Amino acid sequence: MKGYELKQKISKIYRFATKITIYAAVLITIVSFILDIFDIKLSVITKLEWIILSMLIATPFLGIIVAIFYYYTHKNTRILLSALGIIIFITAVLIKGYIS
Amino acid sequence: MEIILLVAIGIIAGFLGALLGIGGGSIIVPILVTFLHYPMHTAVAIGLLTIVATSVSVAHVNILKGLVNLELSLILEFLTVIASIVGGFIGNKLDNNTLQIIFGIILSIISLIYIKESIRPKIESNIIKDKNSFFYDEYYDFDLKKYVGYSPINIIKTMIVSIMAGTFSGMLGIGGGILKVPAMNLLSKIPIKVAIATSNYMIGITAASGSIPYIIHGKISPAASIYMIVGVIFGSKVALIKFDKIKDKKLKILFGLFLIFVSLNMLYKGLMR
Repeated sequence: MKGYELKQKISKIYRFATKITIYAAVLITIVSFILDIFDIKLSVITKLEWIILSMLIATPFLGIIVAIFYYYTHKNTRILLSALGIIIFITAVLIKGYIS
Repeated sequence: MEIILLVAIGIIAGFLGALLGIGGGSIIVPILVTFLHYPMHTAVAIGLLTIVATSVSVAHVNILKGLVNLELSLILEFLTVIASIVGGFIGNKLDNNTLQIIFGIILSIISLIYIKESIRPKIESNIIKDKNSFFYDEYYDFDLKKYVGYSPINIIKTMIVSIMAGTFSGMLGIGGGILKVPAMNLLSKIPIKVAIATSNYMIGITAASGSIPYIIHGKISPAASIYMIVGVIFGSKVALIKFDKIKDKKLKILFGLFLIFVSLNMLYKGLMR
């Protein structure tokens, strides 16, 4: 199997992110449900929700960053440029969004 | 009460999506808009985030099994990510009704493709095996009990389909697997198992990119997204562990017709407002 070492690394990142997301999301849902019953609103819950969502969105890009290092050491220019292109584009969009 | 409702809808969407082989976004967005009266943009953003969650939760197994062609997916994703973000920005610029009309039209087309794919006999396309090919990869097929090698061809044609799917994904909150899988299988001659797994991996990257414009424009409801994610992951896991994938053509056609009904309903509402 080609690039098994890379596939193992990406798989580990994805598995870790899945576990954290599921546990944290279930916990937040239960806490929100209890707070909803007593009509309590906590801003910390919204912050935690954003952290979970940000982590989830970042996971696929973290996989690509790992791939960039792998293809750089293996001198696979075509894939390296494509992966770099994705990350540079995303970073540019995020910076532009943050500024505006 | 809304928390329970959103989790329940997520469970149903995840369950149906996993059993019927259609992405959660195609089910979630119309339900949120039609029954819970969510603004179209918020529903699209929630759809995208649930797609990321389901993709990430399934991809790690597929990657380890060698079913994801990483090199091909990274090449295809470069332009697809750009298309998805552009789609996201276009979606944000459009008003609620226009977006609803476009969603209605695209979902009708996707539903028709879904029905056609359900009817089409599943014949494995001729796999091309050239070990010198740039994208050559192999995986262990547990049914055949041997390693299967393949070399994807017609990359440009598949890339065009992928870009199209990416634009719709960012704009409408759908995964686009229904377009990518047949393209990879029929155009690029990739084995169906690899096509499904690679498409699922790519969809996660595309949807994550597509969600960024919605975050920038403040159209995301983090609470609703979290409740839906919990429901969708739970629903899809239950479906995959406890049940076999539905192969009954009539049931798939019936579901396709239901999706057409929902999309026409959205189209009608968008036109009448």
